[in-house]
Order: sequence, then C-alpha cells, then structure tokens
Amino acid sequence: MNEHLSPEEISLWFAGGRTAELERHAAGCAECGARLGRMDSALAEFRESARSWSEAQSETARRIVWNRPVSHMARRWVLVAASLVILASGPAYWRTRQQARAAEMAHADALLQQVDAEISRAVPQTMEPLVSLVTWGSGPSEESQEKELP
Amino acid sequence: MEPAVTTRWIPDAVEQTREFDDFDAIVRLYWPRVFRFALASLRDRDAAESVAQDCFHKAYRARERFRGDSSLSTWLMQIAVNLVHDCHRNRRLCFWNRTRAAAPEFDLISKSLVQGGASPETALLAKERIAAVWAAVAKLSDRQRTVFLLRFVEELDLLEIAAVTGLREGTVKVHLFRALEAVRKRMGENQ
Repeated sequence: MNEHLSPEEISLWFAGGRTAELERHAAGCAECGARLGRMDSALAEFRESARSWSEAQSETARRIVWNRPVSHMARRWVLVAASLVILASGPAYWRTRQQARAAEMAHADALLQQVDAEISRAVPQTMEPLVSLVTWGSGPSEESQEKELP
Repeated sequence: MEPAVTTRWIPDAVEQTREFDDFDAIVRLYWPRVFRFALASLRDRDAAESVAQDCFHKAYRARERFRGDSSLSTWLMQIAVNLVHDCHRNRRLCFWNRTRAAAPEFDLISKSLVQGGASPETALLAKERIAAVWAAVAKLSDRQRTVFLLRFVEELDLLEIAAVTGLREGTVKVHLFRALEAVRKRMGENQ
C-alpha cells in the first residue's frame, strides 16, 4: 500500500475496521500516523470534555437521594391497613356523633322549657317581690262582707 | 429491531441476582455512567437526571425479571438507551424543548489543559476541536449518536454496544462509521 489512507479509511480505522494492511501503512507513514493521531486526540479530548461536564453537572445530581420505589405488595398492605382503620373508626365516630346530637337535643329541650316558664309568668320577674306583699283584689274579702251583713 | 448478538460475557446469574440485595450500592456505582450518557445524549441536565432516576426505578421494579443474560451494567445501559430514545421522541413532538439543549462547558476542559501544562494556544485549539466534535454529534441521528457516545465516551467495544442497543455488530459498525465521517468532516479532516 503506497498511497496515503483515504478519509474513509481513517473513519473505518476508528469504527473498528482496521486491517493489518492499514496498520502496516500507518506504522510506516508519518503523515497518515499524524492524521490518525489528530483524530485520536480529538476523540480523547471529546471524551474528557464529556466526563468533566458530567462531573460538574452531577454536583447537584448527587444531592438527589435515591428513593426506593414502594413495592406493589407494600402498597397493597398500606391500602388494606387504611381500609381497616376507616372501617374500625366508623362505628366509634357514629356513636360519638349520636351522643353529641343527644346532648344537643337535651340542651335545646331545657332552653325551650325555660322559655315556656318565662312566657307563663303572670308578672315580670322584677315585680315578683311586690306580688308577695300585695294581695290580689282591692275590696274587702268575702268573709268580712258576710260578717257585716245583718 | 434486530436481534441482539450474543455477548462475550458469561454472566453468573446467581451472583448478579444477589447484587440486587444492595440496590443502593448499585445506584451509587452506576449512577455516574447512566447520568453521563443521558447528559451527553440530551444535553439537558434536568432531563438527564430524570432519565437516570427513571432508569434505576425501572431496574428496581424489574429486578425480579433480570435473568443475568447480560452484565448488570449492560442491562442498566439498555434501559438508559431506551429512555433517552423515548425522551428524544417526546422532544420532537414538543418543538419548544429543542431550545433547552445546553452547551458543554468547553472552558472547563481548556482550563484543565492549561493547568496540565499545555500552552494557551494548544488549549484554544483543543477547545475548538472539542466544540467541532460536539457540534457534529448534535447533528447525528439518534442511533448514530448513541453508538458514538457509547464507543467514545463510555468506551464500550462493538459487542458491548450491540448488546446495549440490540443491534447486530455489523450494524453498529456502520452507524459508527457514519458518525465518524460526520465528525471528521466537521473537524475539517477531509484530506
């Protein structure tokens, strides 16, 4: 092989297609050796840049904590436990609610009775002490009238 | 999709299945590789983080079905490649997402070259070469880009790439050749 490596042969070299003939020529030809060297160092620099960039960027990525996903089985158990808690707390909640309602009704009844009592009073509450001092009716009583009769 | 070729690994299924006992250690070990591949493919840190997270979630959920036909690393990379492809497909549907592609930090590499003893001129030339390769990679088809990144960033050999992508070794070689042609042309290496 007397001619220099073609551009395609250079690409082929790096694509895993280097043959013994190509290697022989590259070893003996300074120009082709230099071209291969340039391509090789460009690819090495590219690799280095990708790695440095990734390392710089992953400074933040490292802060990400790997969260192990919850398995389907575990998820199922959590759902079952939650359902049981809901079912168990249902009657207790119902009972508490009934008690609260009964207490509310009793309070309302007491209030109504109080209102009834207020309404059925003959005189206002503030005048009640006077009622005990004064007898009803201004004229003489029936007994005294009978005595006065001849 | 073409059938996957037989890989050169003879994995011990029992041993590999045992590895799942400490899944957190698997995440710590393989997260950088999955994240790096996703970042180089998508050029979007948030999307790459999502892909890495989804990759490990999928692997965790499917760990019972892992038969040990391939190495754990290959299996994880298979999942990552599929997720990246899904992401590309979704991006094509959402055209506004195309503008989110981030540029790699070329300054970072040129600074490290200067610190490593290279002259500023050499560092500048290297920076230009790197930018040219990234620009060429951005224009590749999804399949070509995947194969190129697996070969030249993750340093997988052709058989490993075939196992990860589910392609034949010959097909991998063709994709790689076309990708290299595009990169070489972009670098101005046409003579």
